[in-house]
Amino acid sequence: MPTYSFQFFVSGENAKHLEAIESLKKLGDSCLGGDYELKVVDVTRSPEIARASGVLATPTLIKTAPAPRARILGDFCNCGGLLQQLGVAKSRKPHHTLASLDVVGE
Amino acid sequence: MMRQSKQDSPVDGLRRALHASEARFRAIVDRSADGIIVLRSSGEIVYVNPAAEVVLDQQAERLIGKNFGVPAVPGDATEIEVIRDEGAKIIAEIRVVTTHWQGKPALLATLRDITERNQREREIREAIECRDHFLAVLSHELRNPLASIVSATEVLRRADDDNSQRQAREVIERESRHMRRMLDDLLDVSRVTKGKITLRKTTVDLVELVRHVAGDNEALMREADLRFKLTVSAVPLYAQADSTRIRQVLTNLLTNAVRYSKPRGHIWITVCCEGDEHVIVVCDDGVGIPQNRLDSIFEPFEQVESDISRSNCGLGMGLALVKKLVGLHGGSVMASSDGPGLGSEFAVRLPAAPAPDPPVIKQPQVDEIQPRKIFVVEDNADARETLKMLLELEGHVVETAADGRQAVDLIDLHRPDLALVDIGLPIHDGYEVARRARKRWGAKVRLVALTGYGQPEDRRRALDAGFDAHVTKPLDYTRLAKLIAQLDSSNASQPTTA
Repeated sequence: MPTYSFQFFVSGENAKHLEAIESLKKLGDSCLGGDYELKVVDVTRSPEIARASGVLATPTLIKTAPAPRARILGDFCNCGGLLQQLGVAKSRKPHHTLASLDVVGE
Repeated sequence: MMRQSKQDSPVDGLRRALHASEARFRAIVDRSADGIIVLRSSGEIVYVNPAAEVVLDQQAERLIGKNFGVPAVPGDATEIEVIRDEGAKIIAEIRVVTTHWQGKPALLATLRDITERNQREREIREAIECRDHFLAVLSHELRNPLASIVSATEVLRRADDDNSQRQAREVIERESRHMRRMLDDLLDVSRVTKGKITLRKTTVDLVELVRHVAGDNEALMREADLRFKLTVSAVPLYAQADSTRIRQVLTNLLTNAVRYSKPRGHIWITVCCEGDEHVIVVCDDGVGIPQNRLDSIFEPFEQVESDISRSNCGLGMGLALVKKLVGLHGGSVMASSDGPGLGSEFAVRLPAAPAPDPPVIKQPQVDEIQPRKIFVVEDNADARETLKMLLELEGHVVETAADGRQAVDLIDLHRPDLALVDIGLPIHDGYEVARRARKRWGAKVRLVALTGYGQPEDRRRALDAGFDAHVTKPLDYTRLAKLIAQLDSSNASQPTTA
């Protein structure tokens, strides 16, 4: 089992979503050494999963493991600082941070 | 026991001021058109204003405590999709600033529903793309016939044998016709789209009409080395239709079939009755249509071959016009094809109509053309001189003027029977020339506006200025001859359009 698990909620398929997924994968490979799992959920196809996860808007990224859970929504094409926002401490390489807030779990 | 003072204590005053201040600011937030939500640093919602309830489509009681997520907004703003019940969604623009809530760091996000704005922007972008594509196609499609005309003109200048000269003349005629048809289609699509085409319906025998159209286009098919077969009902099939427009529909379908056929290909037309409809099918074994293009092929500017550099397929307006005109007749048109290389079929369905009453046979009238004094006012020297030459070949006496002032001066001198006046003239435009000529000469001179502007409002404007008729460029010489012939009966001068 990978150490990190993420769910990425999008609605429908468009170029921006695909770019965001690519960007997240790159981030996972470079900063988490590939030790992660990324599940993409299309809320138009699986609304029940979105409802169960309490997703109000897309795109939303939820870190489901390890605890604590954390979620971000908005623009994922620029992923700088994302891991810190999700409370992910592990980092194989130093990366640029944007967040000015200490993000705590849900 | 001390009596309580009727006056407020300083604390009460401060409390009241505080309440008033809070009410003021709450009113601002409550009445804000933008949704405002306050989030803990974990993304948990702690406050939503009424506008945010609308954007998120949920009451505040249901939203407070839910995790919205920490907004990742790299620039000033970003777009998110808000999921509504029943799968609907809206696009919201989100902006975020840091703040404090109950003494702790928090985020203040504003949400604005931009679904309609995005839709409008998308439509504008598509319209711009469509226009750019159209201009590129227009430029390409006009260059092709123009190139042929330029070459043929050069042949006329250099060649001294009759055969070459005849061929060059045929090229010029054919290519000019082609350009003219493209421009007519372009104008007609615009008019149909704006609902400005009025059908002149009569009872039309579709069998006879199809025969005529096939006959008119026989040479075109022969030149393209195509075999043609016409299968029609043995009895007349009547429809209430504008015969000119249905001819236009069939001509467009037939020229379309010719364009998309290869040499030694086949074109079939069948006309039959199916229930209370008459069906005209134009079929070919040419390049065919991909399945995913069968619907969009009727959109303006669409061509099966989308690569402009390889296309030679007109403006892509023909089928758009076909659909609109057939629709105006209460009919339908459908395209079908087994795919690329497997030919295509266009089926036009029109409501059937009962047979008309037997026609009253009239004696044909023979128009007698007499030499006339004609005044040509045109600033384009080539257009002016060629028109003069043509009219002189018909035996008319022609004088010319190159601008509005010259026209006004010379019309007094020449006192023509007919003045053909361009609208876009230097000094005085054609309308002014008409007004002045009409003022001075009343109904004695017949005035015909000659213009590139063919919209109904242009015609109306010309007639209002005093013109008797409005003729769109390029000039159709048969129509001009008719106008000249009508001079004999022009005492009862009724405005006409051509």
